[in-house]
Amino acid sequence: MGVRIDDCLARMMTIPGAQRVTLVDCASGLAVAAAGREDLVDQHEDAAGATDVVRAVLTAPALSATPAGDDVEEIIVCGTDGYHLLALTGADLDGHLFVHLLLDREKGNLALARLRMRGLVDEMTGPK
Amino acid sequence: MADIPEVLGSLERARGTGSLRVGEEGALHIRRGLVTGAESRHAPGAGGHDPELAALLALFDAAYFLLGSDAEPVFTEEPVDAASPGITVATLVHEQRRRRGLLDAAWPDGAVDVAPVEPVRRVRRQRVILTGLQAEILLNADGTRTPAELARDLGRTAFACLLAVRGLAAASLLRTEAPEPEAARTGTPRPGPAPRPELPAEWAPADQDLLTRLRTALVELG
Repeated sequence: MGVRIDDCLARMMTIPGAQRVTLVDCASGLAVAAAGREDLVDQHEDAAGATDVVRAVLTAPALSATPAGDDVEEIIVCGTDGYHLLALTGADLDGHLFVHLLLDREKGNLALARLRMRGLVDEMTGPK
Repeated sequence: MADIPEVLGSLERARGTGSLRVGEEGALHIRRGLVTGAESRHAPGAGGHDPELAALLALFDAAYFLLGSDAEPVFTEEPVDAASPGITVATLVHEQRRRRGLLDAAWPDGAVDVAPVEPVRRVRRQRVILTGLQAEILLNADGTRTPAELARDLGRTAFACLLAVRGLAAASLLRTEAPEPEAARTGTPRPGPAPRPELPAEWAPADQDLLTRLRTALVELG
């Protein structure tokens, strides 16, 4: 993977409580880059499963704030042991991508993680 | 019939370096046994903000078509520039199967993958939910371009367009042009993964008698 993306993922791993971060191609569900806890066998299965969630949310009118349908920036799942933060990139990167961050529930701070992730995702998708 | 994954597997074991040309379909580039690049005439090439990311997405996009091809592969030993980190054959095969499964789950008829598509004139639904890409395809489908050609013009991966098109076909929002003589349009054989004849091209028409009897039975139950 390119330095820029690997560098962004490495910086996402410095978010307090970050355990694993995966960059996923939303169109195919392919994990295109990952950092953190190595569950390599499951990495692609996880990416495919998370993509199903993103697709389901994007196509659910019930989860839109306006009748016209607003863009989804993040999807958050709060488990008893951890948070999953799915941060979607805009439409102008190569295809549509999202970052899946797994955060430890004890060590992580969701508000801080959201803020840092948004900054890093914007940086990753911004012009070179 | 050529089995591309098998040929790739033996090249991986031999740690070969070179290009595997797959008939007229495209080629896979291999460095020390690992696939570092691929192009298919059904998939647009790499392009976009991040060269490595674009190359990786383009590699998997092209490999989907190449691994399913029946064309005869020819390997040429030559130096290969690595556009992407090397991908193992097992990963490529796994991903190709998964993608085919996703497509078939959306709509089990591959005919829409390779034919020019056009929107239907009448929508027989009260409401319709589309993804952004599905909307782009409906707005651009003109009955002359195949999903692969739409992918190139819209700057998307071929797979993303195939999946969107299958979803649109399942929702009866898109159809293929009226059947035309085989190979009349381009003079080349049908592109893409071989169509799967064992699957029905359309749902069979509903049996009205059966439905009436079913309804009567249900009414009696209630």
